Amino acid sequence: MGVEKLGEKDPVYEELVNILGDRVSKDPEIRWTYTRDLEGPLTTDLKRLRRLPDYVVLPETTEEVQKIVLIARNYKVPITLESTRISVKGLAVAIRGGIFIDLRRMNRILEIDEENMTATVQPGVTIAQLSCELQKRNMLIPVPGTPATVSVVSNYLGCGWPGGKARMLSIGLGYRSVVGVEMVLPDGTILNTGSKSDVFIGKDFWPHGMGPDLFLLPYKAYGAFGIITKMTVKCTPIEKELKVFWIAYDNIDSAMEAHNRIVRLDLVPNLHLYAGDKYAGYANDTLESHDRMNRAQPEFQIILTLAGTKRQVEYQEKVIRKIAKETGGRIIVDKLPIYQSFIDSHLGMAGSFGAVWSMRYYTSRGGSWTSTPTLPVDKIPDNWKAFSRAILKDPDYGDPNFGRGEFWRSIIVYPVEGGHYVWGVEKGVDLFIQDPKCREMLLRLHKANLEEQAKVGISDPGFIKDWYTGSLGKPFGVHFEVSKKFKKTLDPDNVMQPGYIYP
Amino acid sequence: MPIEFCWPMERRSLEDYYEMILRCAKCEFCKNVFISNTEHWQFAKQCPPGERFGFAAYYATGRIEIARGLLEGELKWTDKLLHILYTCTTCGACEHWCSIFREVYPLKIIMEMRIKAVKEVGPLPAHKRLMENIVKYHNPYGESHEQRFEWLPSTVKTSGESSLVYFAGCSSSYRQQQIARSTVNILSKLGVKFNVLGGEEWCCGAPLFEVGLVDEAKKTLEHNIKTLNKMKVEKVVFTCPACMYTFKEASKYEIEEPKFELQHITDFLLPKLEKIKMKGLNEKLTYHDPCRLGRGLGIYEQPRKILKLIPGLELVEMPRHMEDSWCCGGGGGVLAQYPDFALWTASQRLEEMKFVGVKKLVTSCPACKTTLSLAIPPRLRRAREIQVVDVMELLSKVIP
Repeated sequence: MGVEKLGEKDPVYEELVNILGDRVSKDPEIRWTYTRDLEGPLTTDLKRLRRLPDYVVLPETTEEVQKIVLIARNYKVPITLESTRISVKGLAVAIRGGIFIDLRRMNRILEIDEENMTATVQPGVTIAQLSCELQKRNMLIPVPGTPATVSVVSNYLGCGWPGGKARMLSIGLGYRSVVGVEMVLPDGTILNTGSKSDVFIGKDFWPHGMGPDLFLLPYKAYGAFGIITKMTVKCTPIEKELKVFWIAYDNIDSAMEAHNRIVRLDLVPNLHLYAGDKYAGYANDTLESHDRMNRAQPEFQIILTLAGTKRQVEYQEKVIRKIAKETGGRIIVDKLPIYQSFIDSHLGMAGSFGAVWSMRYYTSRGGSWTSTPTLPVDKIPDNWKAFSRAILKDPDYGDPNFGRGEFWRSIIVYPVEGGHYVWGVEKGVDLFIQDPKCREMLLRLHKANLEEQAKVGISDPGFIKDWYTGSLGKPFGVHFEVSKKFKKTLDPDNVMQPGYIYP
Repeated sequence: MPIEFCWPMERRSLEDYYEMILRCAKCEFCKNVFISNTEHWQFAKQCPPGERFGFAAYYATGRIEIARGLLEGELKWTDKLLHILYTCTTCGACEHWCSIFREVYPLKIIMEMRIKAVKEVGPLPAHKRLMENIVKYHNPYGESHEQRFEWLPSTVKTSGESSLVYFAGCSSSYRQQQIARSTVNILSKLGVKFNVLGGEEWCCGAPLFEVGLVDEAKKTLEHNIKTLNKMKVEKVVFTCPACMYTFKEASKYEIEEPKFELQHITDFLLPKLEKIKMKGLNEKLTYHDPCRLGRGLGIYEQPRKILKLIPGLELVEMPRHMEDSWCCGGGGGVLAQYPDFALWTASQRLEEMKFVGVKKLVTSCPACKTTLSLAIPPRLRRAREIQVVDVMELLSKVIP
């Protein structure tokens, strides 16, 4: 594998130039700027990631992407992808060199179908772009807990972070909004999933097309099975009445009781349970003000989105007030201004959530996640307690001069798919992500957390002990071996995104 | 412990910015208008060179990676690198948002890179000409210094005893003289006594500071400040935001500091105009925020308030306005070195103007007026179908 050069000639470059003209570069200065993304603290080897691609290309159409893929396949040159370059996992770095496909010029909203309530976009379209056009039509898409500058395609299909803040309970994770994709496979074939794959329909309005269903082929594949060049997402109407409601609790058991009762009633489109200092890290510039807010705010909070007609919202509020009263919750009426961004987020308005506070994650102290397991609902209190034990015995966080671990820990619980299960329990600790010590502390906490979770039957440290030190696929056993066979069939030379999932 | 991780309190060279460079999360906020302000996806972008040249290197995120490459010894000065560095129009849109979100200052890093570039490989050809002209003629155009105040109408009387000085600047003195003429006419009509520097007014140094020629820039700026300090003036008003911004930044350069107040003309005139009745003007127009005036000096409202005082005038905002304004393309030495790109940037602004259905654009900066006017297609310019004017020009018509 590598770039084949014949003397002074560089056939790969020449062929790329023939297709793309000045939208291809092998200048070192251009290539250099694709050597680093945020590099999450759990990234194993930063130097390994700082590898230069050999070429950078800026395609604008599916046909151009197809031709680039065929060149790569012909010369066995690796391909690495990026859409809007927001990656906290080192995924937008060409760790094997080769062709780096920057998809940001594929940034057109191709269609907004108001009849079928769908929108079709290219991979460079951001959540903000699409949301602003949809809202003019009284429609919305789920807004993820990431900056609204992320690509709709990569966020909904790539990382699995919770898309659908506003409608998570009723819609589910981000990928559940995907109706179909157009994808260039490693052999240059253009594949359509969803109802468009049925030649008698030819339009994406339903995610499941011809069988066997390939709907989830690109999900969490990080480009290993091909490049998505179009994606259709389903949209939802914006309800007439929207209201955000908060309930505060002093202990996790009562909070979870209320959480479960509300979820089982299928009453509201969304709710989250936040515990610990979830907000303080976003909203404060100094350690002192951060600490002050932590001490002042309620430790457990349920935030609900009430939505529907005026009468429906009144009914939802009445029932929730009753549940809050019966479970010992306090309704928070006077919200602090800093919470407005969260309110906007819950109401589905793109951007406010990601605009300021989520980016503060990485700058100010606050917002490094130790683990995000998917759990049955009844395990949440045990999980919180296990995490608390792990953090309180940590030498840094247990140190009253530094950690104050009883305050500077947090979780967020996301019930999804009608509350049938809890998607994830994000467990956060406050660190400066730029701090070289951050990685060391996170790994230590992660290990301690797994050990504590194992004691209450939540995790098996033997199974996941090395996930953060090995490749992404390593811990998955048979499942991974079977997927490797798919990969081998579709991409025998391992051209697409090598080194991330498939070594 | 994490709290031990700190960064230099005062940054004096590119090396001091290394930690800040690593803090860039590639979050893309520097490339877009403030997300919640997104009105039209076609007008959601904010970085002209990034949008024109496409590669990551041309956005702020890429440029600061290049700074990292230089600091780590992985990159050397090349023509391509200088093209990347000097196609930045220094509009400050990236810095405006990034300083809020992540406390990263991409423009400061770019300016440090330019200073380093000038020291190590010298200025670009067009910038060298600017420097030579400023040193020799005290203006970047190479025009005769003696003719600097030829624009001053003989009918306007200046007052040698006035504590107020109007600093016209090079663009208004040589290229957009109607702005300077309109300004002094307005001051006279309003009964404001003012003075001008005459032959002692030199270039403020902004064109040189912007391209990294700091040593030469400091000399010309200091000359102006010393002259004004010696005259014991109390206030200096500017029509050029770049001049005012340069004076305001003087304290950073270890030169004599101004002992007078600085004020932009729109800020100065607003309270006076609120007290008079202006003539009506039945026109629909839009306002372009100059980068230095808006993001640089924080003056957004004053020009708008002035326009709204004119009876009959309808002000329509473009999708990108105030903090989200799109640059005219002329800043940062770009118009001098890369005129095609500067005019492409300006043409994007004119497209936005067309999008909101107006034919007249008003601004508050002679440099913006120059660049935007140059981008008007000749046919439309001849037919006066698209016009770009300064607030002062508009005001001179409506003040009785």
